[in-house]
Amino acid sequence: MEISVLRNVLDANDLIARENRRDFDAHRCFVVNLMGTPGSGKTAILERTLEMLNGGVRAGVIEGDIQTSLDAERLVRFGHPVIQINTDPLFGGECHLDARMVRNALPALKLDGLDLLFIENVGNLVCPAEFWVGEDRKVMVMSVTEGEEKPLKYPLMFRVSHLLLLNKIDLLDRLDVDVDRFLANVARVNPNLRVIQVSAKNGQGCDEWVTWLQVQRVEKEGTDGERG
Amino acid sequence: MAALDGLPRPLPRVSRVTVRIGRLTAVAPGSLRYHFDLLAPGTFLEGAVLDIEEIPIRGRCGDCTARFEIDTLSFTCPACWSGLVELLSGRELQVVSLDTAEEVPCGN
Repeated sequence: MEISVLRNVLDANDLIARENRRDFDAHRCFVVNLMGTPGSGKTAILERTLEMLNGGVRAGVIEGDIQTSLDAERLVRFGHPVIQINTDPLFGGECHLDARMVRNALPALKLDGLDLLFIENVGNLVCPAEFWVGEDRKVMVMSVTEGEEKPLKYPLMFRVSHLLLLNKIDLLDRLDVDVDRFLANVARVNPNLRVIQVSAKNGQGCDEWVTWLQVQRVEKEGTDGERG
Repeated sequence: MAALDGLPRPLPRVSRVTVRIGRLTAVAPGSLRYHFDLLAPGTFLEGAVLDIEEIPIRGRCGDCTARFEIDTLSFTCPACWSGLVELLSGRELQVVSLDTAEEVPCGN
C-alpha cells in the first residue's frame, strides 16, 4: 500500500530559519549570509568591511567553520561582537551552516544592539546554497583566480545569490583572467546577479560594496521583511 | 525524519521509498543512493528500493511567457533573451511516498 508523504526534506530547516528571521526582524537587524569557496577572501572582506563601518552601523558576525576559531580571532579586533560556530565538535562536521546552528548561536549575540549581522558560512560552493538560515541577502565571494567557468559549474550558488563580490582584483595584472568572459558566464546563469569587483587587500571597489549594503538595509526598513 | 510524523506505529516495513530531486538541487542522486544503502539496514527501511525521480529544470519567461527546459548552462529565455526567468521546477528535494508490503493476517 502506498503512503503519500509529500514532505520537503528541508521543511524542518526552513521552520527554524523563519524563527530566526522573526527574531532578526523584531530587532531590526539586517542579515547577510556570506558564502564562497575556501580561500576566496570572505574573512578578508569582513575585515575590510568592519574597518569601514567602524563607529557607524552596529555590526556583528557569526563565523562558521568546521574547525578552529582562527577566523573569529581575525575579526574581534574591530570591536564588534563575533561568535564562532564550529560544525565539527557540535554538529558532526557539516560542510555548511544551517538554520539550527545559527539559532544555537543567537543567545550569545545581543540582537537588539545590532543593525547588521554577517553570517560567514563554511567555505563551500555547493551545500550552503540550499540552506536558508533566516538571512535577508545571500552574498557570494569569489576570487579572480577561480576560473571563468565557475558559474556554469555551480549554477545553484550563482542563482540563489543576490550579490557577487569578485575579489583579489589587485592580482589581475599578473593573471591571464578574462573577466569579461566570467561576467558573461554569470549573466548566462543569473542575469540578475550583480557583480562588484573588489580587492579586500587594497580596498578597491569596497566603497561600492558597503554602499550596496547600506542601501539594502535602509530599503528593508521601508518594507515588510520578505524572504530573500 | 519529520516525514515520519503521521506514519502508523509501529513503523511498517517499507518496500519502496520514492523521492524527488530537482536537477538544480545540491544533492547528488548517486550519493543519496549510496548513503541510503549504507544506513537502511537495521531500520524500517531495510530492503526498501529507493526510487529517485529526477526533475528537470523548467522556466517561464516573465516577459514573453514562453516555457522551456533549462540545461543549467543558460537561464535566459531562448525565445526573447529576457533574464526575467521564473523557475517552475528543478529545486525539489522531497519524500514523495512510502510503499509498504501488504500485511498478511495470521492464521489460527
